Amino acid sequence: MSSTATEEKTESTAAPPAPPASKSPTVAERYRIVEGGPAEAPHRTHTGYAPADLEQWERPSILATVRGLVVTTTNFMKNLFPRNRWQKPTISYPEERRAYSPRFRGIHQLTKRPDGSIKCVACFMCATICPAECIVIEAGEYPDKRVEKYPVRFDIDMLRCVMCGLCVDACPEEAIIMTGDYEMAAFTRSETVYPLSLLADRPQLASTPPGYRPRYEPGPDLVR
Amino acid sequence: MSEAPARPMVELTIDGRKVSVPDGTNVLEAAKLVGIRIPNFCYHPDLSVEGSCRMCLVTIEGRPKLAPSCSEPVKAGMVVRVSGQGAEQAEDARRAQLEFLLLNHPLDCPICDQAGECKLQDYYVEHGRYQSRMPRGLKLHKRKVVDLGERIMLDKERCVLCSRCVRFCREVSESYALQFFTRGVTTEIGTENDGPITGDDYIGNVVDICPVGALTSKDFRFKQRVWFLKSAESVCDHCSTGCNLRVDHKDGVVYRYVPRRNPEVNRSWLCDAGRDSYKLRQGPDRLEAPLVRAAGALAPASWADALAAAEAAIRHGRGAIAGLASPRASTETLYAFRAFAREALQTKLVDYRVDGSHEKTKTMADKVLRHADPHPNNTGCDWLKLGQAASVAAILDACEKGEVKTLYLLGPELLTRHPEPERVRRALGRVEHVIVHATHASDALAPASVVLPDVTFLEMDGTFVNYQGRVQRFRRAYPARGQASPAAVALADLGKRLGAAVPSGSAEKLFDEMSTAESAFGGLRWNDLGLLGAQPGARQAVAAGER
Repeated sequence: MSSTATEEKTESTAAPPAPPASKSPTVAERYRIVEGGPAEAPHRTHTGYAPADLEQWERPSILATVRGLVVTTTNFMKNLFPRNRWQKPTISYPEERRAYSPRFRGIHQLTKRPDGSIKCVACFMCATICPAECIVIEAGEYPDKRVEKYPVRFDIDMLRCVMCGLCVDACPEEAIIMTGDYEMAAFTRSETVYPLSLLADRPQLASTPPGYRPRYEPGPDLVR
Repeated sequence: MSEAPARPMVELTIDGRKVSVPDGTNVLEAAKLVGIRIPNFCYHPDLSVEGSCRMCLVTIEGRPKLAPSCSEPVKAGMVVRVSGQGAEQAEDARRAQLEFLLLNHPLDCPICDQAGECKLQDYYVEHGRYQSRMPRGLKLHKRKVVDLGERIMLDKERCVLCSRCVRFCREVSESYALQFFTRGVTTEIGTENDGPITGDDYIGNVVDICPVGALTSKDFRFKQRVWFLKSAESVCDHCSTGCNLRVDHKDGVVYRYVPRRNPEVNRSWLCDAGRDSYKLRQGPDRLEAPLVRAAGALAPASWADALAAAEAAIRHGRGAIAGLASPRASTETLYAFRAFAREALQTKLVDYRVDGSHEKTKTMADKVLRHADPHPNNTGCDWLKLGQAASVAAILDACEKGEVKTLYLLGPELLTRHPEPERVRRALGRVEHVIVHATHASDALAPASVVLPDVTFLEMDGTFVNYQGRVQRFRRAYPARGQASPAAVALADLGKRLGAAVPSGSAEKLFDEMSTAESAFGGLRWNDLGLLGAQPGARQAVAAGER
């Protein structure tokens, strides 16, 4: 540290006086950034730091290599023979799965009325609030005059969706909720646009609890 | 409004602000002039005053009772309080009245087409009566989704009984279609036996004047939420009346026309045919690329090829060319075409009176707004003296005699609307090249050798001159479809290729140039036109009125 301070003093005469030696140097002082810096910098490395500015233990040497190998080997052994399950950083997905919060914001789901019809009334609140503009709705005339309106088309572009959950917040009918399902890999882009049929009926979800639905406690009223 | 005989001015104070208005104005309109909006449902500037909604109650100093501002004529020295200190009583009364109106109002906002432009919704938010004091389950329910014929859907629950629609059917369209039925709390609007409305060509307006979602348009129903729509101030091109309207569109698709208030032209109304005419300007058959005749049939081509083909046709026909303008083109396009005909086509055989509509420009087609002339700009053609040197009959005769080799059409009217199609066919049989600007593809374009894709008036800026001689601007709503390009641009490009000077530039530049050159425009400037247009002679544009 002291060597760095002296170097700076000798190098930059025009620069403002260096801070007193007792005070620990700032990052900028320690790692003198040479990109666009003084021309007398000894030489540049790809990191932009001059090796001369580095501490002894930071400089490339055989000792540093050995020290690095120790860290690598220690962690390798820990992972190979974990003492408990917390020490193991990976899981055997998909056989093993992590438990997520009940408020997890996974793929959306359109809920249904007890009679099995779709709850959504195509009010466009979700499409209005959606910051990614990934919801496309087309409304149609519902035969029941008390309902009046329903979505003929309801697409969510999962590639555009940012999983913010604002659509769920905006929904006045709890017609759209989020699930714990997060597997949406697909082979083509068109597959990532989820149509009404897919959003409403995904049998694999029946066994999993619903995800983010801020209004109500999960209860018998939710028909999925 | 502006042409009315001068009435003495009266000065009054509204919420501490002095305002001077003509005698006979009501307090509500006077307040509007100083930017104070008094809530109202039943008042409409183009209908008689009813005073039934009681939402516009204000305090007038020196009076023990509140007064409805819509039916209260101004008096000199009147001190009116709408809100704030001194108006607590009026504010309370309005809030209580709003609660009454909301008593049986259904919670339909999420599925109601009016949401977003609903007065009841706006005032509800403004007055903050969020919690209903009506016990659950006691709301009075009325019939919903009542189908009133081709255009209107009625929801009786949502109605606030303002009677705007009833007065409209009585005073403007005179169809007496909508009426009040029963009394008291069960009062509702409707037609006789809830039957369909027929024989009213203006019934679409009741949707616009309905302050709530009781009357909604079947055409617009559920198509879009209104807050997604973008608007452009435009003019109807369906007849020579030139009704002012607002084009509501999204992503290059027009969803509806809404009338814009212009007391000098259409008041607040729009006819149903004009309201539907947006459909004619769109459609899947829009031309998106130039067409050039190749091996006997019209085939899509690039603009460069199309202009080259047109240039060759014009050079080939030198000395034997005729041109026809279009009464559907903007005035600026017509101005460019006139110069193009003179400099590039070098012909005097120019006319616009293809279908005889110019004779009917000032003939009313009904008692309210419509005129018999289906084109928006016959007056503009007339002002530019496009029909002075020749006539369509003379041009067709010349064609039949083989004196015309190349025919240049600014619009497809000759091919689609001429009263004698047989004669046109005979004449075109002897013409070697027909160059036509068209917006839509159709079989009628078959005789053409070059078709240049034109933009519709929704995709460009410009002016029309209506039957009164009122120059009115229409504004570009959305970009042109495909490669379609304004005719004026194509004319300028073609003129350049032919070495002729054709005026080009923005509509503003062309208009000012034209107005300087042509005395019929009376020296009007583009900036004089404003939102409501202007007539030569009356140079000041009228300030925009509220719908």
